[in-house]
Amino acid sequence: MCASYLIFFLPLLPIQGYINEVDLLKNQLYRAEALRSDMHNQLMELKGSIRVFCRVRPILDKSSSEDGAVYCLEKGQFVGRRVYLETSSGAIKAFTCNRVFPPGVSQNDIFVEISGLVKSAMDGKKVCIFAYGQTLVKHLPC
Amino acid sequence: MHICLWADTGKTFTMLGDDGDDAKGVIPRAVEEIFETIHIRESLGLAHHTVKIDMSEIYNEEVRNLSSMASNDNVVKTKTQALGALKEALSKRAVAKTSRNERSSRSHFIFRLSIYSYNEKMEMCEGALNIIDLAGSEAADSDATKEVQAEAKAINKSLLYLGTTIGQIERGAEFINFRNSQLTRELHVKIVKLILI
Repeated sequence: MCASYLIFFLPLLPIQGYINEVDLLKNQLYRAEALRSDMHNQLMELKGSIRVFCRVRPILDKSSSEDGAVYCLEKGQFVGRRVYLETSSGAIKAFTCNRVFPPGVSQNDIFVEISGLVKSAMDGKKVCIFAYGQTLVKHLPC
Repeated sequence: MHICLWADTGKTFTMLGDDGDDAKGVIPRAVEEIFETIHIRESLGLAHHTVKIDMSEIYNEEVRNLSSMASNDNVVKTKTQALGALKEALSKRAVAKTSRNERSSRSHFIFRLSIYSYNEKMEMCEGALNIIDLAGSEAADSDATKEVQAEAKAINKSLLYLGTTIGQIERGAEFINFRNSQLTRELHVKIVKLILI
Protein backbone atom coordinates (compact mmCIF):
# COMPACT_ATOMS: atom_id res chain seq x y z
CA MET A 1 0.00 0.00 0.00
CA CYS A 2 2.60 2.42 1.14
CA ALA A 3 5.01 1.66 -1.75
CA SER A 4 2.46 2.10 -4.48
CA TYR A 5 1.36 5.33 -2.92
CA LEU A 6 4.88 6.71 -3.10
CA ILE A 7 5.49 5.61 -6.69
CA PHE A 8 2.30 7.21 -7.83
CA PHE A 9 2.56 10.40 -5.91
CA LEU A 10 6.18 11.50 -5.83
CA PRO A 11 7.16 11.68 -9.53
CA LEU A 12 4.02 13.62 -10.43
CA LEU A 13 4.30 16.09 -7.64
CA PRO A 14 5.76 19.07 -9.59
CA ILE A 15 3.28 18.98 -12.46
CA GLN A 16 0.27 17.76 -10.52
CA GLY A 17 -0.59 21.33 -9.63
CA TYR A 18 -0.77 22.34 -13.28
CA ILE A 19 -2.82 19.32 -14.22
CA ASN A 20 -5.28 20.16 -11.48
CA GLU A 21 -5.44 23.72 -12.68
CA VAL A 22 -6.03 22.70 -16.29
CA ASP A 23 -8.85 20.39 -15.18
CA LEU A 24 -10.33 23.16 -13.11
CA LEU A 25 -10.21 25.63 -15.99
CA LYS A 26 -11.63 23.07 -18.39
CA ASN A 27 -14.52 22.48 -16.04
CA GLN A 28 -15.12 26.20 -15.74
CA LEU A 29 -15.08 26.50 -19.54
CA TYR A 30 -17.64 23.70 -19.93
CA ARG A 31 -19.85 25.29 -17.33
CA ALA A 32 -19.55 28.74 -18.89
CA GLU A 33 -20.35 27.29 -22.33
CA ALA A 34 -23.39 25.45 -20.96
CA LEU A 35 -24.56 28.65 -19.28
CA ARG A 36 -24.05 30.66 -22.47
CA SER A 37 -25.98 28.11 -24.50
CA ASP A 38 -28.80 28.15 -21.97
CA MET A 39 -29.00 31.95 -21.83
CA HIS A 40 -28.86 32.17 -25.62
CA ASN A 41 -31.70 29.71 -25.88
CA GLN A 42 -33.79 31.73 -23.42
CA LEU A 43 -33.09 34.90 -25.37
CA MET A 44 -34.22 33.27 -28.61
CA GLU A 45 -37.39 32.00 -26.95
CA LEU A 46 -38.16 35.45 -25.60
CA LYS A 47 -37.65 36.96 -29.03
CA GLY A 48 -40.23 34.49 -30.30
CA SER A 49 -39.95 31.12 -31.92
CA ILE A 50 -41.68 32.34 -35.05
CA ARG A 51 -40.48 35.73 -36.19
CA VAL A 52 -41.24 37.77 -39.25
CA PHE A 53 -38.82 40.35 -40.58
CA CYS A 54 -39.49 42.71 -43.42
CA ARG A 55 -36.76 44.12 -45.62
CA VAL A 56 -37.75 47.01 -47.85
CA ARG A 57 -35.93 47.02 -51.13
CA PRO A 58 -34.75 50.41 -52.34
CA ILE A 59 -36.05 51.66 -55.66
CA LEU A 60 -33.15 50.89 -57.94
CA ASP A 61 -34.08 52.85 -61.02
CA LYS A 62 -35.67 56.14 -60.08
CA SER A 63 -36.27 57.26 -63.65
CA SER A 64 -38.80 54.53 -64.42
CA SER A 65 -42.16 54.35 -62.77
CA GLU A 66 -42.97 51.21 -60.91
CA ASP A 67 -46.43 50.90 -62.29
CA GLY A 68 -48.81 48.88 -60.22
CA ALA A 69 -46.32 48.37 -57.42
CA VAL A 70 -46.92 49.30 -53.84
CA TYR A 71 -44.83 52.04 -52.30
CA CYS A 72 -43.39 52.13 -48.86
CA LEU A 73 -43.99 55.47 -47.24
CA GLU A 74 -40.84 57.25 -46.32
CA LYS A 75 -41.36 59.52 -43.38
CA GLY A 76 -39.82 57.66 -40.49
CA GLN A 77 -42.30 54.82 -40.50
CA PHE A 78 -39.67 52.17 -40.55
CA VAL A 79 -38.92 52.66 -36.90
CA GLY A 80 -39.40 49.39 -35.13
CA ARG A 81 -42.09 47.07 -36.22
CA ARG A 82 -44.51 48.77 -38.55
CA VAL A 83 -44.32 49.29 -42.27
CA TYR A 84 -46.78 51.44 -44.16
CA LEU A 85 -47.58 50.78 -47.77
CA GLU A 86 -49.40 52.89 -50.29
CA THR A 87 -51.14 51.03 -53.05
CA SER A 88 -51.64 52.39 -56.55
CA SER A 89 -55.19 53.42 -55.64
CA GLY A 90 -53.84 55.60 -52.84
CA ALA A 91 -55.00 53.46 -49.93
CA ILE A 92 -52.55 53.19 -47.04
CA LYS A 93 -52.07 49.90 -45.31
CA ALA A 94 -50.05 49.20 -42.19
CA PHE A 95 -48.36 45.90 -41.42
CA THR A 96 -46.70 44.85 -38.21
CA CYS A 97 -43.86 42.38 -37.96
CA ASN A 98 -40.99 41.70 -35.58
CA ARG A 99 -38.60 44.05 -37.25
CA VAL A 100 -38.54 46.21 -40.35
CA PHE A 101 -35.32 46.81 -42.23
CA PRO A 102 -35.49 50.07 -44.18
CA PRO A 103 -34.00 50.33 -47.69
CA GLY A 104 -30.61 51.58 -46.49
CA VAL A 105 -29.59 48.58 -44.40
CA SER A 106 -26.57 46.54 -45.41
CA GLN A 107 -26.33 42.81 -45.90
CA ASN A 108 -24.38 42.70 -42.67
CA ASP A 109 -27.17 44.38 -40.70
CA ILE A 110 -29.49 41.63 -41.85
CA PHE A 111 -27.04 38.95 -40.90
CA VAL A 112 -26.55 40.37 -37.40
CA GLU A 113 -30.23 39.68 -36.76
CA ILE A 114 -29.86 36.16 -38.18
CA SER A 115 -26.58 35.28 -36.49
CA GLY A 116 -28.34 34.51 -33.22
CA LEU A 117 -30.13 31.74 -35.05
CA VAL A 118 -26.89 30.42 -36.47
CA LYS A 119 -25.67 30.15 -32.87
CA SER A 120 -28.84 28.26 -31.98
CA ALA A 121 -28.17 25.80 -34.79
CA MET A 122 -24.68 25.28 -33.42
CA ASP A 123 -26.17 24.62 -29.99
CA GLY A 124 -28.22 21.78 -31.39
CA LYS A 125 -31.45 23.54 -32.32
CA LYS A 126 -33.26 23.20 -35.59
CA VAL A 127 -33.69 26.49 -37.34
CA CYS A 128 -35.57 27.44 -40.49
CA ILE A 129 -35.22 30.71 -42.35
CA PHE A 130 -37.53 31.49 -45.25
CA ALA A 131 -37.12 34.24 -47.77
CA TYR A 132 -40.47 35.23 -49.16
CA GLY A 133 -41.65 37.95 -51.45
CA GLN A 134 -43.66 38.72 -54.49
CA THR A 135 -42.12 38.43 -57.93
CA LEU A 136 -43.70 41.63 -58.93
CA VAL A 137 -46.68 42.59 -60.87
CA LYS A 138 -48.11 42.12 -64.29
CA HIS A 139 -47.12 45.15 -66.28
CA LEU A 140 -43.44 45.57 -66.72
CA PRO A 141 -42.29 48.12 -69.25
CA CYS A 142 -39.67 45.86 -70.74
CA MET B 1 -35.17 44.54 -74.46
CA HIS B 2 -33.81 45.68 -71.17
CA ILE B 3 -34.12 43.65 -68.07
CA CYS B 4 -36.16 45.15 -65.32
CA LEU B 5 -33.75 45.05 -62.46
CA TRP B 6 -36.41 45.87 -59.96
CA ALA B 7 -38.73 43.07 -60.90
CA ASP B 8 -37.66 41.09 -57.88
CA THR B 9 -38.13 42.01 -54.28
CA GLY B 10 -34.60 40.99 -53.41
CA LYS B 11 -35.05 37.62 -51.69
CA THR B 12 -32.20 35.99 -53.53
CA PHE B 13 -30.00 39.02 -53.00
CA THR B 14 -30.67 38.86 -49.27
CA MET B 15 -30.05 35.14 -49.06
CA LEU B 16 -27.14 34.66 -51.47
CA GLY B 17 -25.97 38.16 -52.25
CA ASP B 18 -23.42 39.17 -54.83
CA ASP B 19 -19.68 38.78 -54.99
CA GLY B 20 -17.65 40.96 -52.69
CA ASP B 21 -17.45 41.20 -48.94
CA ASP B 22 -20.17 43.79 -48.45
CA ALA B 23 -22.70 42.23 -50.76
CA LYS B 24 -22.49 38.70 -49.41
CA GLY B 25 -25.85 37.33 -48.39
CA VAL B 26 -27.09 35.42 -45.39
CA ILE B 27 -26.03 31.95 -46.55
CA PRO B 28 -22.31 32.65 -47.13
CA ARG B 29 -22.15 34.66 -43.92
CA ALA B 30 -23.82 31.88 -41.95
CA VAL B 31 -21.41 29.32 -43.40
CA GLU B 32 -18.45 31.49 -42.42
CA GLU B 33 -19.76 32.04 -38.92
CA ILE B 34 -20.34 28.34 -38.43
CA PHE B 35 -16.86 27.31 -39.48
CA GLU B 36 -15.32 30.09 -37.39
CA THR B 37 -17.24 28.97 -34.32
CA ILE B 38 -16.24 25.37 -34.99
CA HIS B 39 -12.61 26.43 -35.19
CA ILE B 40 -12.82 28.23 -31.85
CA ARG B 41 -14.67 25.40 -30.14
CA GLU B 42 -12.31 22.75 -31.43
CA SER B 43 -9.20 24.67 -30.47
CA LEU B 44 -10.63 25.06 -26.96
CA GLY B 45 -11.36 21.35 -26.89
CA LEU B 46 -15.05 21.97 -26.26
CA ALA B 47 -16.43 19.72 -28.92
CA HIS B 48 -15.74 17.93 -32.16
CA HIS B 49 -17.92 18.71 -35.14
CA THR B 50 -19.15 17.20 -38.37
CA VAL B 51 -20.99 19.39 -40.85
CA LYS B 52 -23.15 18.06 -43.65
CA ILE B 53 -24.51 20.16 -46.43
CA ASP B 54 -27.58 19.27 -48.39
CA MET B 55 -29.23 21.28 -51.11
CA SER B 56 -32.32 20.67 -53.13
CA GLU B 57 -34.86 22.56 -55.14
CA ILE B 58 -38.54 22.08 -55.71
CA TYR B 59 -39.60 22.88 -59.21
CA ASN B 60 -43.16 22.23 -60.31
CA GLU B 61 -43.75 20.06 -57.23
CA GLU B 62 -40.74 17.92 -58.07
CA VAL B 63 -37.85 17.59 -55.68
CA ARG B 64 -34.40 17.69 -57.24
CA ASN B 65 -31.26 17.02 -55.32
CA LEU B 66 -28.62 19.61 -56.10
CA SER B 67 -25.76 18.38 -53.97
CA SER B 68 -23.76 16.05 -56.13
CA MET B 69 -20.82 15.37 -53.91
CA ALA B 70 -20.73 11.62 -54.10
CA SER B 71 -18.12 11.23 -51.42
CA ASN B 72 -18.60 11.14 -47.67
CA ASP B 73 -22.34 11.76 -47.45
CA ASN B 74 -22.01 15.46 -48.24
CA VAL B 75 -19.66 16.12 -45.35
CA VAL B 76 -17.88 19.45 -45.70
CA LYS B 77 -14.76 20.23 -43.75
CA THR B 78 -13.98 23.84 -44.59
CA LYS B 79 -15.82 27.00 -45.45
CA THR B 80 -14.27 26.96 -48.93
CA GLN B 81 -15.59 23.46 -49.52
CA ALA B 82 -19.06 24.47 -48.37
CA LEU B 83 -19.19 27.58 -50.51
CA GLY B 84 -17.90 25.63 -53.50
CA ALA B 85 -20.69 23.10 -53.07
CA LEU B 86 -23.18 25.96 -52.86
CA LYS B 87 -21.89 27.50 -56.06
CA GLU B 88 -22.09 24.18 -57.86
CA ALA B 89 -25.64 23.60 -56.70
CA LEU B 90 -26.75 27.06 -57.76
CA SER B 91 -25.47 26.53 -61.28
CA LYS B 92 -27.84 23.59 -61.56
CA ARG B 93 -30.92 25.48 -60.51
CA ALA B 94 -33.74 25.90 -62.92
CA VAL B 95 -34.02 29.52 -63.84
CA ALA B 96 -36.39 30.20 -66.69
CA LYS B 97 -35.53 33.34 -68.59
CA THR B 98 -38.99 34.68 -68.95
CA SER B 99 -40.04 38.12 -69.99
CA ARG B 100 -40.01 39.00 -66.32
CA ASN B 101 -36.66 38.80 -64.73
CA GLU B 102 -33.60 36.82 -65.54
CA ARG B 103 -32.77 36.28 -61.92
CA SER B 104 -36.24 35.60 -60.72
CA SER B 105 -36.02 32.11 -59.40
CA ARG B 106 -38.64 29.74 -60.54
CA SER B 107 -38.08 27.12 -57.89
CA HIS B 108 -37.84 26.88 -54.13
CA PHE B 109 -34.27 26.46 -53.05
CA ILE B 110 -33.57 24.58 -49.83
CA PHE B 111 -30.16 24.89 -48.24
CA ARG B 112 -29.56 22.71 -45.23
CA LEU B 113 -26.56 22.51 -42.95
CA SER B 114 -26.63 19.75 -40.37
CA ILE B 115 -24.20 20.26 -37.54
CA TYR B 116 -23.31 17.26 -35.43
CA SER B 117 -21.23 18.06 -32.38
CA TYR B 118 -19.68 15.51 -30.08
CA ASN B 119 -18.50 16.52 -26.63
CA GLU B 120 -15.75 14.89 -24.55
CA LYS B 121 -18.02 12.06 -23.47
CA MET B 122 -18.91 11.51 -27.15
CA GLU B 123 -22.48 12.60 -26.56
CA MET B 124 -23.92 13.74 -29.86
CA CYS B 125 -25.93 16.88 -30.38
CA GLU B 126 -27.54 17.59 -33.72
CA GLY B 127 -28.45 21.06 -34.90
CA ALA B 128 -29.64 22.17 -38.29
CA LEU B 129 -29.82 25.41 -40.17
CA ASN B 130 -32.34 25.41 -42.99
CA ILE B 131 -32.43 28.39 -45.28
CA ILE B 132 -35.17 28.38 -47.86
CA ASP B 133 -35.28 30.81 -50.74
CA LEU B 134 -38.88 30.59 -51.80
CA ALA B 135 -39.89 31.28 -55.35
CA GLY B 136 -41.89 34.45 -55.69
CA SER B 137 -45.62 34.21 -55.82
CA GLU B 138 -47.00 35.99 -58.78
CA ALA B 139 -50.07 37.18 -60.51
CA ALA B 140 -51.08 35.11 -63.53
CA ASP B 141 -50.01 36.80 -66.71
CA SER B 142 -51.93 36.23 -69.89
CA ASP B 143 -48.79 36.89 -71.95
CA ALA B 144 -46.93 34.06 -70.30
CA THR B 145 -46.56 30.71 -71.98
CA LYS B 146 -48.36 27.63 -70.69
CA GLU B 147 -45.16 26.37 -69.14
CA VAL B 148 -44.63 29.54 -67.17
CA GLN B 149 -48.25 29.57 -66.09
CA ALA B 150 -47.89 26.03 -64.80
CA GLU B 151 -44.78 27.07 -62.90
CA ALA B 152 -46.63 29.97 -61.35
CA LYS B 153 -49.48 27.69 -60.36
CA ALA B 154 -47.19 25.21 -58.65
CA ILE B 155 -45.35 28.01 -56.84
CA ASN B 156 -48.48 29.72 -55.59
CA LYS B 157 -49.99 26.44 -54.49
CA SER B 158 -47.00 25.37 -52.45
CA LEU B 159 -46.71 28.83 -50.88
CA LEU B 160 -50.35 28.66 -49.86
CA TYR B 161 -49.83 25.28 -48.20
CA LEU B 162 -46.66 26.47 -46.49
CA GLY B 163 -48.65 29.35 -45.05
CA THR B 164 -51.36 26.98 -43.84
CA THR B 165 -48.82 24.70 -42.21
CA ILE B 166 -47.01 27.52 -40.43
CA GLY B 167 -50.35 28.88 -39.28
CA GLN B 168 -51.16 25.48 -37.76
CA ILE B 169 -47.80 25.36 -35.99
CA GLU B 170 -48.23 28.85 -34.62
CA ARG B 171 -51.71 28.14 -33.31
CA GLY B 172 -50.45 24.93 -31.76
CA ALA B 173 -53.00 22.95 -33.71
CA GLU B 174 -53.44 19.34 -32.74
CA PHE B 175 -52.91 18.13 -36.27
CA ILE B 176 -50.36 19.76 -38.48
CA ASN B 177 -50.65 18.93 -42.12
CA PHE B 178 -47.31 18.58 -43.86
CA ARG B 179 -48.50 16.48 -46.74
CA ASN B 180 -50.18 18.94 -49.05
CA SER B 181 -47.13 19.90 -51.06
CA GLN B 182 -43.58 18.74 -51.67
CA LEU B 183 -42.25 21.82 -49.94
CA THR B 184 -43.92 21.09 -46.62
CA ARG B 185 -43.10 17.39 -46.96
CA GLU B 186 -39.43 18.23 -47.40
CA LEU B 187 -39.49 20.47 -44.37
CA HIS B 188 -41.53 18.14 -42.20
CA VAL B 189 -38.76 16.17 -40.57
CA LYS B 190 -36.55 19.16 -40.11
CA ILE B 191 -38.87 21.75 -38.69
CA VAL B 192 -38.86 22.45 -35.01
CA LYS B 193 -38.33 26.16 -35.04
CA LEU B 194 -39.65 28.33 -37.81
CA ILE B 195 -38.36 31.74 -38.59
CA LEU B 196 -39.86 33.77 -41.37
CA ILE B 197 -38.32 36.50 -43.40
